[in-house]
Amino acid sequence: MKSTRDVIADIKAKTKQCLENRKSANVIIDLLCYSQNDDASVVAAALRALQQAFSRFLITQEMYLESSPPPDSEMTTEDQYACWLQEQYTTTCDSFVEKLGSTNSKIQELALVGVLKFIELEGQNPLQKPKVDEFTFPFTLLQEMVSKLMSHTSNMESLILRLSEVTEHDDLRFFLMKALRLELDKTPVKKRTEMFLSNVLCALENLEFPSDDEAKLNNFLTKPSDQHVQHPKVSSLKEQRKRFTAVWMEFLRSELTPSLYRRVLTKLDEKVIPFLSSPLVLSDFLTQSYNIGGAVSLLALNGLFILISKYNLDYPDFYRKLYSLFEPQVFHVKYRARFFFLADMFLSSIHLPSYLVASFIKRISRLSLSAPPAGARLCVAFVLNLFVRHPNCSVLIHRTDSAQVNSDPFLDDEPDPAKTRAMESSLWEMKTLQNHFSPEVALEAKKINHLPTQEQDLADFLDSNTEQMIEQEVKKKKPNVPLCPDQPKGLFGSSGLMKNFFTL
Amino acid sequence: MGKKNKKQLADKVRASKVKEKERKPNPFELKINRQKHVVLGRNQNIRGQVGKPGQSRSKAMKRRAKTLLVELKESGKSNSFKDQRLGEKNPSLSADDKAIQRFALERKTQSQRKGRLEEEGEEEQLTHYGQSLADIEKFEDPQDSDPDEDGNISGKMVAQEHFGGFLTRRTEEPGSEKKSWKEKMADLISQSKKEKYERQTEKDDIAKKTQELDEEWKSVHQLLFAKKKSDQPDSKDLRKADDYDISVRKLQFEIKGKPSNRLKSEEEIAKEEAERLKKLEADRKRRMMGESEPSEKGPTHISADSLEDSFDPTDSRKKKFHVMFKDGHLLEKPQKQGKKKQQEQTIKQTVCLFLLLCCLASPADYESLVSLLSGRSMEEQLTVVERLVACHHPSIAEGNKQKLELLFSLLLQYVMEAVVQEKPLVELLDGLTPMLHRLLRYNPDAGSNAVLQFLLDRYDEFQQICQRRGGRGKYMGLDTLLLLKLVHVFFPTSDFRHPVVTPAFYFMADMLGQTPVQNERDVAAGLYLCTVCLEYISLSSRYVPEVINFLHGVLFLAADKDPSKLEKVFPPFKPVGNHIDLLKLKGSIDQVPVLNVTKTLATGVEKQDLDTDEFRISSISTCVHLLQEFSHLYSKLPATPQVFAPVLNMLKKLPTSLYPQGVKESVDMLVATLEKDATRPLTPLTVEKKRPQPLKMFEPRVEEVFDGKKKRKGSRELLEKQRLQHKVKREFKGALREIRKDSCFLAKQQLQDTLEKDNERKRKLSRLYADLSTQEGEFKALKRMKDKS
Repeated sequence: MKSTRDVIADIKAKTKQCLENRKSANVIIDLLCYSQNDDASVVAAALRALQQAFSRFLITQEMYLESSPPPDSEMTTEDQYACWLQEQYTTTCDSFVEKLGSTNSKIQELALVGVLKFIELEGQNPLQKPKVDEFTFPFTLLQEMVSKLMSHTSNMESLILRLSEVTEHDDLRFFLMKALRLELDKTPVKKRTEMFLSNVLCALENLEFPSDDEAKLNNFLTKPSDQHVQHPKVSSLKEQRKRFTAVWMEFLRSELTPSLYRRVLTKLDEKVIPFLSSPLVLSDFLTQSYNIGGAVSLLALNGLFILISKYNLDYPDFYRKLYSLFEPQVFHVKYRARFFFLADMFLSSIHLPSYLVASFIKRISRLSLSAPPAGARLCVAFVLNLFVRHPNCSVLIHRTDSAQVNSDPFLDDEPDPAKTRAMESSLWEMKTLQNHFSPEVALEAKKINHLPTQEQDLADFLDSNTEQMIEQEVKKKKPNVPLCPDQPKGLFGSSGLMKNFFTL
Repeated sequence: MGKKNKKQLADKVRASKVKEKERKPNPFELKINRQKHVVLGRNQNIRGQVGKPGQSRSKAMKRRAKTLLVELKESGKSNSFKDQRLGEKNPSLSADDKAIQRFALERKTQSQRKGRLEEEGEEEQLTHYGQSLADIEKFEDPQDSDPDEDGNISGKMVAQEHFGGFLTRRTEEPGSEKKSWKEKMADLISQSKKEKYERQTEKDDIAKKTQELDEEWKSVHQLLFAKKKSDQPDSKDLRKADDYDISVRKLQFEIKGKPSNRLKSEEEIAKEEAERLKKLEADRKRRMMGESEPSEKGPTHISADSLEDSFDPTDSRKKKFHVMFKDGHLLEKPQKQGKKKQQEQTIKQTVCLFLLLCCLASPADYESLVSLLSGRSMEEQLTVVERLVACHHPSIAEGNKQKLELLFSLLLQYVMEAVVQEKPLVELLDGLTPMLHRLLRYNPDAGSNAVLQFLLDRYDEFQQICQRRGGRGKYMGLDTLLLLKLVHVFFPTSDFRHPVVTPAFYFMADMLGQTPVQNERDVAAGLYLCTVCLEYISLSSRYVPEVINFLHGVLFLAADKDPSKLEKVFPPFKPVGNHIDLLKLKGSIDQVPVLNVTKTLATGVEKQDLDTDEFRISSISTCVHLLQEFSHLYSKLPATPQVFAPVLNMLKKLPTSLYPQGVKESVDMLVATLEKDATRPLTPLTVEKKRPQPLKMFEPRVEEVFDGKKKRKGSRELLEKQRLQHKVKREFKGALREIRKDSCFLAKQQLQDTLEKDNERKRKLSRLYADLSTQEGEFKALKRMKDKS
């Protein structure tokens, strides 16, 4: 048995032989055998050797055949050689694709790089004479690769990210989308596993589109840029967008798990909507997600708002839904900052009716009564901003015309913000918060006594939590810490309150 | 004669007329700038009020003719003629005079040249005011600056003799005849010499006499000085001899009777105490409102003595005893003698300990403290600590303050660890609390820092747990819970902002708000924290949302739930889950035991111990009572109905039929209170009216002294710059005007030149024509004559 080092040396020698002399082309079979070896380093060396050899063959066009292989009798030796090489080439490609599923990440990466190299070179130097206006792209190879990458069992994210680095090339992007579509079509909705979907999503969300709408698509991987072969479909951005839309629609049909759902929704606004041929196709998906409630609703909000504001989606219940999203749980979900940021944006228009804004103000103030300190501070700042934008709402804090009321006229159970009678109410909640235990909240709430004239930047409050508030408090070094003046009698002795409820 | 006179008169008149003409200019030649307003106090002859354009124009023309025209004429020439003949420029000299002058000059230069040639070879002597410099430079016998001695004659002589003495006519001495001028001069010289000599002798005499006097004085002066010196030792000897004097002096310097404080009566003491308390309360209220201190003062120092005063002597644990020794044996107080033998032994032990500790250093690190305290009974430990503190009172030695600081943090650590043991030593903490407080007072800043650090460490731990469990926290161990209570004992929790209390508050709120309630211990810990919160806010009645949320949640756990409908609950509670019926009673019960901290919160407590109806009913009862307290405290807040509405809703769902009578009654009472609060009338909010801003007043600027000039404002440099800029502008304009006039003058001159040249040529031409025509005429005449002839 040879040692690994010897084998690798052997592989290198054979590669050299094979490249130097046509006659020693048979060593390719040995190399293929080595690539099935158990030892990872041997496999890696063999893969490298094969990639090197076939890259050379592709460039020198040794495998080139004028047309489809003629019958054996008419073959020249040259043709036979080319034919044989082509056979070896397909075997090699198969083995590379197979290696994509390897457990060793290094080999996976090598295989991916190899396949991409083959795709590039084969596209530039086709094995057969291309048809007149056909785009020479080794699509079958790509598709095999994609179907291997979109695995149902293992996480291929690192490889897919690697692949997406080359999606800046327009042709590769185009055919990748085609392959993905085929892959999705092949798998029925029921059979799409979470892993498969996550792999597809990873590929989809990392596609790189040119930022400029008018840009000419001529950044091709397979064609040198000087040969201007115009392929109407590949080089048209419109066509590419169509395909992109189709893939996404097919993808969104599948049953998404909550985590995937959230991931999709967070990516929609930046990675998807700008590149769809018609973003309104997402409206159904988004409205459905919005109706689910909870965190998913929060996330769908942004996409929906983009559709409404930029693409003229008519969604009359938007503010009603937004109103219903303000619930006590909102302070305890992960997306709190995002939600309040978006809500601030949605309510930033000064053309909103006062009754609507007043309802929001009341609702948010109610929430702040049960919120943690950081949330309460955010609420107060939010409400103050609303007052600045909508001076009409200041009746909530300054009402001179009416006498005392027996109870708050505001109806907090009413789902429709138009019917809450918020404009008849007063902001007693803020008055209460002025007595909040947290000095920060109390100071913020005291601002309603003299309304500020300029909006405050919410960014400082959006992400803050109790931990940061404590840090702030600790930083405020104050000398002369006041102490209790009286000597205590014991731990529970100083005040009678504790003794009523607990004993030591 | 008459004719002559007539002529003179006519001349006079004419002359005067001419004069008048000269004096009075033609008003048509004047240009008067009319003044718009006559300004009082201003100089009447202002420059530029009256201009004489004709005169100034002709002046300017003349000036140009002298300068510019000359230049123009010489413009094409490379050299110029300069007339330097003597007297040529003086128009008053006649040609003869000029010639004479020139001749004289000629002769003079000639003679000078001759003289110089003769003297050549001799060295020239340098002089100064006619004296040879070589003489002066010797500097011998410097001349006295006295004006009388410079050889001049005296003033009297000058007055009498010079210029004939003017009007000072001397009465001629009858015996003397008239002297000739020569004689007079000889007299004068001799006289002055005599005077000089006299002055010299006088001066010498004075100098001599001064010297003599000096010598005499020296001898006398020595005598005087010697006497003075010999005086002093005599008096000293005198004083030493007398003891009485010494004592008198001593008494003089001794401090005389000082007024001491009068013993205060009991009422006065009570009054002072009341005032002290009043001041403390006012301070506390000020801090509660979040106002800053009126003036920066140091911490009100409370001496250790006053601490001792407030020390409770009735507390049996800290009973003091006097230690007396006689012949090396311990003497006990008579009242102790009748006690049990065991107690005597402990006292003996403690005394030995005390003696030991007197020479023992305070523990430098945690291990030494543990070794000092471990293995002793609790009372002994307390005594040890007390003695340690007493031994290291800051007034005893320097550096004790730092030692006590360290002791404080070590003790705190010690008790915290004692509390989390299998069998928690809560009593130890309870007993040590006064001691810790006393230690804290020695150095409030460092002590509170130590407490804060403990709190922050615990909070970090809590945060880590939260992160590990995806945002859900856990009720911390008994040590943290008791530390939070300890904060209330040490610090005034009603402050608006306090370096220790505020973080503690946040910590509690976070714990209550983040931790899902999953078992009985969670309920107990939450209720405990709510109680601590209640204590914190008992004076300031601040709003703590988390407490209300938690108490609402506890009620939810105990309530009868409608399985078909989801209840509205606040996080961290969830409307569905395994634990939503945690506090639902299994059967009815009569007893309501009070919750015990150790038995419910310590780490070793088993779940089964708490899974009883007793615990549940105690929790519910505690919760209801707490709600009562909170509703009482918050009754003044305007949003109370909204805050307590969910609670009220939940209270109505409690299965009160199973509860003991007392609990049932308190639930009913709470419901009644909350319902009453809910219908309380609310006053709509109004913003305080702003005081109207008065208009800005502009006061006239009054100048005390007005000198007729406007004063420009600004610094000296700015004013100077402005002045110069103005000047530059004016000069620039003036220069432009001059240039314009110059070019105008030149153009005029050139035009004149060309006209003259043209005229000249015309004239010449016409003369030529005339000549030619006469010639022609003569020629024709001759021809005619020839023809005729």
